[in-house]
Amino acid sequence: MPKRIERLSLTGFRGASTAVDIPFDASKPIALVFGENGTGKSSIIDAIDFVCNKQYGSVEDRSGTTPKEHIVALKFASKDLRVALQADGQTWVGKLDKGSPSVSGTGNPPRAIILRRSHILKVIDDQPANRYKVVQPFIALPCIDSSEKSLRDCILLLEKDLDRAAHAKVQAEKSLSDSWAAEGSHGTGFLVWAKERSQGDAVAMKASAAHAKEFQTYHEKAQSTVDAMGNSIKARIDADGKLQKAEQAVKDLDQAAQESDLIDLLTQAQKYLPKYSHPDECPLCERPGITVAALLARITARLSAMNRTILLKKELDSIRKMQHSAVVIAETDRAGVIQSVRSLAGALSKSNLAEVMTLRLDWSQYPNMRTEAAPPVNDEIVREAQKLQLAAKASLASIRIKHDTEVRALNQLGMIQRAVKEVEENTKKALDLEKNCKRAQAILTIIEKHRKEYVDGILTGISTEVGNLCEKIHPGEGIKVRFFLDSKKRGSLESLGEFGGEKDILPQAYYSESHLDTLGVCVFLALAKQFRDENTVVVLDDVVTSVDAPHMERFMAMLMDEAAHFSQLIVATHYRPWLERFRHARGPSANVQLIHLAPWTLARGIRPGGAKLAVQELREAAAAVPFDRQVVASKAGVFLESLLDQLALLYGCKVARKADPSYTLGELLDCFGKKLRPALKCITNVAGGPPKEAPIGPMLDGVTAFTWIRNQLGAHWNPSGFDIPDADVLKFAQKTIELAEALICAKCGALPIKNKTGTHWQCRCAGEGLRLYPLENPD
Amino acid sequence: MEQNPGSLLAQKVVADLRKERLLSAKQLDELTDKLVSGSLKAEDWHLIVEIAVEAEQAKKNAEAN
Ligand SMILES: [Zn+2]
Ligand SMILES: [Zn+2]
Repeated sequence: MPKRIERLSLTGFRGASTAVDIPFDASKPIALVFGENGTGKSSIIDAIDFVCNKQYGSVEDRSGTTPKEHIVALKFASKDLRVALQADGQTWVGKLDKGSPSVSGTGNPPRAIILRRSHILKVIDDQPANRYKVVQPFIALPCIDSSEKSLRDCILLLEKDLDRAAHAKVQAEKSLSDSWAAEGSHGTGFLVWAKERSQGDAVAMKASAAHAKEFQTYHEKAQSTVDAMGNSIKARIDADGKLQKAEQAVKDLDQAAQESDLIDLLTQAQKYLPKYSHPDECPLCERPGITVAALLARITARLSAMNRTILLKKELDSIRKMQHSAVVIAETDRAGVIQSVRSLAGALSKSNLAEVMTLRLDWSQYPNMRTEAAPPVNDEIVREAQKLQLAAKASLASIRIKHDTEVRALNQLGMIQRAVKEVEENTKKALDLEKNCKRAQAILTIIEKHRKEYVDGILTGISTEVGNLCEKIHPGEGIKVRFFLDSKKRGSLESLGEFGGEKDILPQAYYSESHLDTLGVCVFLALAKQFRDENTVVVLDDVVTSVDAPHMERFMAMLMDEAAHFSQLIVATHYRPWLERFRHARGPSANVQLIHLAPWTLARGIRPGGAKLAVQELREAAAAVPFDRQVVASKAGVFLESLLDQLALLYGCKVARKADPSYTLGELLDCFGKKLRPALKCITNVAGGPPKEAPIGPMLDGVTAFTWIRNQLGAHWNPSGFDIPDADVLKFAQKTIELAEALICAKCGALPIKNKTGTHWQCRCAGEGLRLYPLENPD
Repeated sequence: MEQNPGSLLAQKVVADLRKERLLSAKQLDELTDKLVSGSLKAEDWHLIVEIAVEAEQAKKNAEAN
């Protein structure tokens, strides 16, 4: 048993302003939900979408709305919204959880493919890219698509790396080429030159530069000692002069200098006299009149005169010390000069630098500069050292240039070696990357090819299917549409059609609105058919609006046929003839559950009710106690009219032409000709027994006898009708029901009005069912 | 393996890649599952391609010697 929706319970969802249950008859593959506009059809469809697909349904398509707000019914809070869907004995409950649909229940709810009018317009009338989006959920293979996309990303990255390697190579080549040009562009090319140059011996070059640097250091050291010696000699001469002057000054004070003993004596007396016991006599000659005070005054005067001598002596002492240290420094610096020049000499004598050779030093002139033992420091040797330093100094500038040149060359060698390496490495890298890139491209081409083949295959199948379905709705109109992917664009669905012998036309431009409408539905049915599983429920929400009655009739017949491919087909419509078609047995009502929505009110919400078949209504009206004479007469009359009308149409019976093709019961009963009337018969095949034959002619005669009752009771205020006995009213109903039971197949619920074999009329049963003879009107 | 449109397509792709020798046999054996799982990232493809090209080069070098 396929998973069919058995019950839908809505609380606070969309139009369900009061809780409502919609029972579905799971024994029937088709449910027709009829309701005029605004009765809640879309709420029911959206509820299925909400639970099965966690979608907001039709609310989502409306611009300027917030779906989660608009799916909550008036007077309800979003937390109270609840949609329960029961299928195959299981229940799934959809609620709003933090503003998103959330569904609880075991396993997956039935797979519902929902088709709305907005989808139809999109798949037919929109841009190819939007059109693709509609079919994408059906034809996309997300995993393969994601693998394909990541491969594309990989190729982009490889191309970027390749670009980078090529760029680095060009940069390195340019720096080599510039260097080559700077050196005069000799030879066959910069790369050959660079490779040759990069072979340069960096170790030897480094040693040579270091050698030059060492020389420079010897020279600089010698120069600095010579400079220092010059300064210290100057300082010594200065100190000598100062000493001479100080000695002269002291010599000039010679007299006083000899009295230094006296100074000592007076100084001691100065200390002694204040303690002497006879202050009124001289402590030396003991004569009175010479007071100690007078003596002390005298001593102080004398000592102060001698102070200058003391200062000069002190100054002389310090100058002597200074002069001594100047002598020592000068001697040390002289020794320093000798030492540094000897070091320089050692280096000079061992060197084979061209700059040194050109000096042509005559070593015989510098005997003391190359001896092993340290020579004494004397003027002669110092002069010898100074002379050599001066002679060697001539090479310093050229050695400096040599050093700088070599350092530059060394730097350039490093640059060239790096650049050559960069060129070589990036050349190889680019080569490898190019190989990888090509390989990835080749793989991508294969994936693309198969993905396209897959989609094209599906689209071809769908195109054929769409053609077949369209042919059922528009027989002989030659409508053909081909769907295909644009090979140059990704995700673009193109369509070309045929119309009136013209090929490859744009359907949007040539087809009428009703053609496009039905075409859209056919595309969806074809897709749904291609991708159905055993639990696929197809739901159509008032999809076709713009077609005329014959097309509507064929469209419904096509849907009836196609329903067999799905577990359940739910069709919501505001088109009343579809409802009446089933009620009056013009379609196979046995497979169809009719749901009739009463007008919506805020207080009562959505109001579903079953719609009864006309024959059942008549039966029930006749069986009621007491029964309603007017209702029975009226219902029997209308139903009889519908049956006779269908029969008369089938056989093309002659009726008087009217502007408005509505015929009276009498006219319809009289239109069956002399030969047809007795030939009419229905045959039902009964399993295990002989076929059951029912002649229709006598039944027509039987019912004709009572048809006057309809006019008397069922249509007008008519006091003479009061005399009609109940039994006659019931007989009228009885005869009508008998005729209906003979003419309507008990199995499929349809009149036998299909010509399938060319021998008789047949009901909608797939195998044996009800047959109506004859096929042709013999009159 | 379950035969769904994705796995069928992956098998066709792998068969073609095998015919064109674009990847090594070992890589191809693993590729169908990877394609179907949709788990391949750009860096995975990078590695796959690099290994395939390197292996081919190594083989060429070995033959030359
Ligand atoms: Zn005295
Ligand atoms: Zn039947």
